[in-house]
Amino acid sequence: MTSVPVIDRARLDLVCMGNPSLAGEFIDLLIEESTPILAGLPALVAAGDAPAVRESAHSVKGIAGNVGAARLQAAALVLERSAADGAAAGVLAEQLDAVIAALAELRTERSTLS
Amino acid sequence: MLVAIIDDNATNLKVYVNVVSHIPGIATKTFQSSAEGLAWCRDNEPDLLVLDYHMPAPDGIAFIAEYRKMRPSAQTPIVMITGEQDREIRHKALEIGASDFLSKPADPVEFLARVRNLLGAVENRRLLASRSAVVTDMSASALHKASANELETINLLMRAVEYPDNPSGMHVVRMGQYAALLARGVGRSIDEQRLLILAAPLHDIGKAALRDGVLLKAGPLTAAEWEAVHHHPMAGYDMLKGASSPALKLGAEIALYHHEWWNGEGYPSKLAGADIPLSARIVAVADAFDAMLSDRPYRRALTHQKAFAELALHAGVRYDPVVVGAAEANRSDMLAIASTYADNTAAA
Repeated sequence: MTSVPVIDRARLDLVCMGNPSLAGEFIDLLIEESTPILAGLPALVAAGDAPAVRESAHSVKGIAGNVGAARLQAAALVLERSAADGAAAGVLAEQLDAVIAALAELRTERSTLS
Repeated sequence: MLVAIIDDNATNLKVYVNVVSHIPGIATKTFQSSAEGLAWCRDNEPDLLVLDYHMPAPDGIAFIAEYRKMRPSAQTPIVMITGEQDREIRHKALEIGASDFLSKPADPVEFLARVRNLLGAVENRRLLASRSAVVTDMSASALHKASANELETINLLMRAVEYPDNPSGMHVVRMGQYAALLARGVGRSIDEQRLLILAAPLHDIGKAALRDGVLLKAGPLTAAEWEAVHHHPMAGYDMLKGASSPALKLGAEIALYHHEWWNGEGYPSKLAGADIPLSARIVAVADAFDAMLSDRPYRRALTHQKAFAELALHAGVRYDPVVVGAAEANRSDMLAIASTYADNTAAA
């Protein structure tokens, strides 16, 4: 997963449409919106609620991809697919850790944006 | 133009609003809840809808279905944002009324171009609709060409009759306009209003039977002269009564009754209230108003305020109070007619 950049600057620049000051705002909003979704995921994984895990992962993947949070998007995609494929709870828990780690990395990288 | 954007993620909404805001003159309305968006659409019709497919109920498909059902005649373009692989969903959306798609994650450049194109199509459709309305109007004009010719003839004839009083001929033009306005004010149909434009100018055609000098006489009239003046409604009626044209027939009615008073003390028939034909009650108010705003050999024109006050004073006595109410309610339009067709403007 580390081969994927935390932020795809080309994508983030594209959605800013010539207004670089929006980059930080988009990432802040993504972090704000993803945090509660990820906070609810460990319980869903533990309960074996694969459809709900898939749904949450799908949401995070979508908004992360929209603003160029590439690593979070990739990690969420892996979790979404595993949940759809009926992967074991242990696998999902591991993949969820990767998603949470990607969000933490995004928080760190946020400081590099204006 | 108004673009409504519906997506359950705030981040996506912010991205989409930023894209759309690059089109000048665009306002956006966003909803994070599709149910709230749909409720808003019950009372509001956006120029374009952008919505995510994957949302808590109603999802994009259900939203489109409900919107099209709710507004069957609206041609609002709808752009749905879906995953590229959702072919079946796209087909279903097309079937129920989606106009276009964007693939996730939406490419802002592509997004902007599609929104611009769809809004351009909306503008073009409106332009065509307005041109079509103009063409319809032109056809209506062609159909009314005969009426236009009739109006010109009537106005010229009445200009000749009124020439000693009003050489410009604008009094009769104003009469048609006031009468149509008052007819509208009391709820009469467009056709009745149009007919009054033709017929009201004829109210005083009977004056052609008066000897020269009576109307412009500065001093008091003799008994014989009064009798002649009181005869002009009947004279006018006699002139028009055999006509087959609806305008001339209505003109005969107006000529005969336009000096009747609401309280029954007018002439020649002493009809009262609703026994006086509405056309004549309308013309009586129009004629009085126009006379008050005109100079006479024996007095100067009244001010606008004074003229309306006089009408109000005589409402229920000389004039139908409902018609006077219509004049009062359309005060600015009455005055606009007075100035647009003033005596110093060219006669039609």
